[in-house]
Amino acid sequence: MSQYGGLGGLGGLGGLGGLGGLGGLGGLGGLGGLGGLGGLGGLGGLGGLGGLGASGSYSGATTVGLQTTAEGLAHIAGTDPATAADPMDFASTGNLSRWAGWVRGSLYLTEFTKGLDWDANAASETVRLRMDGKPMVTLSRPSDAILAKQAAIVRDYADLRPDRSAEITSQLGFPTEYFSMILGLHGAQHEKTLELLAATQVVAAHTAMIAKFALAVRRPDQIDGRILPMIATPGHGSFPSAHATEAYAAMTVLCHVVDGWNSMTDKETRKAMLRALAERIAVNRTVAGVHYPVDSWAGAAIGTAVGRAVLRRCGQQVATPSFAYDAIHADFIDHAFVNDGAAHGLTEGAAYDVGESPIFGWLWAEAMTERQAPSAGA
Amino acid sequence: MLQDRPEAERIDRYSGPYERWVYTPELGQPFVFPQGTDLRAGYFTAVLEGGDTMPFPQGVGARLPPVWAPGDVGHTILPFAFAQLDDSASDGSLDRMLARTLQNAGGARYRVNFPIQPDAWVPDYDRTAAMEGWAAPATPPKAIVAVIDDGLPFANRAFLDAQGKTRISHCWLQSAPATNRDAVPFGRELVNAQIDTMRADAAGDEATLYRRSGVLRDGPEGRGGLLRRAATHGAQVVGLAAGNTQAMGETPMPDDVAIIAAELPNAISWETSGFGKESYLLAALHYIFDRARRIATATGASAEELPLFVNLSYGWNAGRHDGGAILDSAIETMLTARRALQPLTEIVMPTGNEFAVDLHAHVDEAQMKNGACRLGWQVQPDDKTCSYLEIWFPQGLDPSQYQIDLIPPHGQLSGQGELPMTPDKALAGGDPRRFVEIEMNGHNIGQMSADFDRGTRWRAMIALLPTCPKHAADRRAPAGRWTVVISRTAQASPLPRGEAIKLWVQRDDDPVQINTGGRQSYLVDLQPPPRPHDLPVYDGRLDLVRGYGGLSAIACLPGVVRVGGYEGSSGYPSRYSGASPITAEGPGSPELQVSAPSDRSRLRPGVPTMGVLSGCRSGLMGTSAACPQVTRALALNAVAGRDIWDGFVPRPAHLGHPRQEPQTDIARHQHAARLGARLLPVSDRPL
Repeated sequence: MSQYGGLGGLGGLGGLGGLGGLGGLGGLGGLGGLGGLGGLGGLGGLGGLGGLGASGSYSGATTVGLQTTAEGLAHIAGTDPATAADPMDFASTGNLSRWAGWVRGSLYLTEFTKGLDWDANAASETVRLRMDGKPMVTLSRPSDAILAKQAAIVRDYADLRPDRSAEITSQLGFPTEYFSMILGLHGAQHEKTLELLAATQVVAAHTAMIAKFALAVRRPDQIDGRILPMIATPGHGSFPSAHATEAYAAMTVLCHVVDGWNSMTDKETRKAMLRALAERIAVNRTVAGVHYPVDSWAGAAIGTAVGRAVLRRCGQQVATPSFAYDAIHADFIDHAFVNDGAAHGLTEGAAYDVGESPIFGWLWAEAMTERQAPSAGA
Repeated sequence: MLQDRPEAERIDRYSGPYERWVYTPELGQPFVFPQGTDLRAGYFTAVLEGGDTMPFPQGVGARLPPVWAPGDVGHTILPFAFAQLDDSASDGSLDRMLARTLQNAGGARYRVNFPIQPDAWVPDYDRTAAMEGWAAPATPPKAIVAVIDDGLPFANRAFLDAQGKTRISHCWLQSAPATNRDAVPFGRELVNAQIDTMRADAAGDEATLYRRSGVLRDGPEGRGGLLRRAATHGAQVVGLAAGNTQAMGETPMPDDVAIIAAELPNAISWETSGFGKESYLLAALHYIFDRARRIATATGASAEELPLFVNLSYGWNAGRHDGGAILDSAIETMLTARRALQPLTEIVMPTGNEFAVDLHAHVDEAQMKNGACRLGWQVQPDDKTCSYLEIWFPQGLDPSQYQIDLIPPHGQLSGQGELPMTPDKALAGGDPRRFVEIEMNGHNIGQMSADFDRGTRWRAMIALLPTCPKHAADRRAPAGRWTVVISRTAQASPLPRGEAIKLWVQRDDDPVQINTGGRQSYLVDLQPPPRPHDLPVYDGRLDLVRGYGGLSAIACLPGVVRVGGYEGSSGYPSRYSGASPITAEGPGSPELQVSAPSDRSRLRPGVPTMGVLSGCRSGLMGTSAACPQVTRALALNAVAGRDIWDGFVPRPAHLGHPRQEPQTDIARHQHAARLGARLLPVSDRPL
């Protein structure tokens, strides 16, 4: 029965589900494991792990059928030893398109995070995120007094809950559909663009979790009993907002994609809508009652920095000033984030370096072929 | 327990029973105003009924809003705002402070309305600045549509003319945070060029425009929250009245129809009684009339006043319903005076949406059995707002032989719960009146009052605290079926034929999720006649508790266009649409002028309209939706030189469905009372 060891391999596929679970551990979204699964699944743009080269689990009948078929056919292959075949290219991006989406997902994640490091200063209660050795974002823990004042804004935003319920509950995981809506993305036409979007959101989430761990800020409903959030309180700290981080990272990368494509006659409008969407996704979390506005400030800073780092990994030359954020009590408004950061405690500093990654470079090139214009696909 | 006040510190001497209830700490005050309302800052709106002299209180910085008074037009009733309360009263309670303030002003009547947020008080109010920054439109206006509402999206592209400039000529945001100097006494005024500049600066991002404009107030108590919603009542109404969107498929409003907008404070939804709105509404109307006149002058119009169509999709349920309320008289004066200068002057109002919710009862002589009529008043549990019931005696009837008794659903009132309909001789000055505190276990839970409203008609009013414990568990009204008994002595003369004692429950719900926590109480016929097996549209009956006559009180003011709603697909009246009164003798007054579609069909409620942000769509149901369609049609006709009722059709003789309408006189009266004289046809736009 040893030939059925292959079934053990199927069991290994089951282990892939466990990888999705890892995503869940990463806390890639309010849905936890589901969000993580969607994130990695989204790497292939097909939205499901099973469709990404993993065969999925066979039904019992199929498994038994395959075995009886094997019994019937194996004798034709004879008994000679297997002969050697030509090897594939070694460590080549040329192979990337052959691998399952989740495999590339692992590569994107490690390609990004191999440069990601951090340290926390207990005396100043700051966390410093570094990229390829240089400070990328430094966050100070907001004071209790600020959080208490922020809770009042969170309560006020509850007024919008009837309006935003559908958005909030459908944005528990990555809000990929919302970005897709603005750029007209479709899995068949924009597979690698969606993969870039998913990879960006995944690395943004991982980056945010580091800061959340270190700064350990209680959620609004954990300091003010009147918040009564409309969704489950997430199992991680409030500051910074991972949703804001992911949305601003995604927006930063997609705006560059739109410029790179240069195929949309209204690209400035699309980019403006992407910005407005990122702001809205961040604010929706305050409406839901799970984030202070200062969380969005911090998340928008990390997300912008991460998005730029992803672009640099892709080989794109974008400026990468570092950010430091020491919260000042205020509402989160993108206009202020863009134009008036200093008055809100957000300052820019020395640039951080980000090395180019051939893996990300390949992904960028693939995404660029998905532009819709007469020459595309010719 | 209510402490006795010295005579000079009794607020009811200068004002009405609502003010006594709302501003007295031992009575309703802790339950009426939302937390955080700054009452001590002392900025208030009010209405003064002063006769020939206008005795505004001295030393309180009384301010008149822009008042329309051309030539020899005079007013005996005016809205005003004031500040700096006299706080020398012994315990500093609000009712005493208000009383002392009003005492200095002489013997006039005052309606003290809702407070003004301190940051909305304009430091430098300069009426002469009215047209500063205003730019003459490329196309001189030939008519004006005005809208009074809340949550008005003044930057929406639906109001742009062919040049891309806004057709909103003037916009008064009554509760917006004030700037240093303004042409309005509180809130903020925006004129057309300012709106255009805001639009240009925002480069198409309207959400940011509103946030950066400085007109929004943060927090749920203000507009900040409202205009950030996908749709607001004001957006939906002004869109139907004067917007040009492709979403609605409406007949475009031409560039020669200018728009004036007045945005009421969201705060007026705070309290379920209608009293707090009067000053804001009257001030808005004066503002509109005044700015319309200035527009005519500034654009060199041939007429002194331009045709003007004011949409007021607002209302409240309890009130006189006879055109005799203070607001009715004030607006009637304005309408009459303006029509003398410009006949094409209309105020268009909805009849309300309370037809089928049992808020009105009609007690005629036949209902007075053994000298009494008993009604149930069902007060709901978990009601976080006060409940109000008004009982109006026929004008000219001396009710001194009548009495109102109140019996709680369970438990016992500490007092008697008996209100003789006679003046309390101990209360000197002011209108004849009497008060009985409703107390349970030694705690106040309500107020009964009798007052000779404006010296012309007797009213009894019952105010109850919320049933939901809000601040103190021992001060709440029990939920359940209260019993109201209207009785009279054997010496009392019977109610005249065709006359009735009429009851209206004040509207008390939370239609647009302002989170008031209101739950609607309603009247119950304790001996209901058997229901028919089917439920025809017109039942041909004259029940004690009825929808007929239960229309919005403010819509009863003389000379306005009252609009009901009907279902576009069937032509049936919308089930909620407020109706005129009827009696066995025939239709009562006031009558409806017109109905317009307020639902596409029974299964597709509402009509399509716009939302807050440009291109946003939404649906609005209710007579609030019917009303602005009529306003629009009137304005389109006027500007095209047609008769303003052109294109309307007479009310059909019947519904065309025998089972829905018995062939009786009463059913025919019901048909007229619900649909009015004519219909605005369903347009050929996609419904």
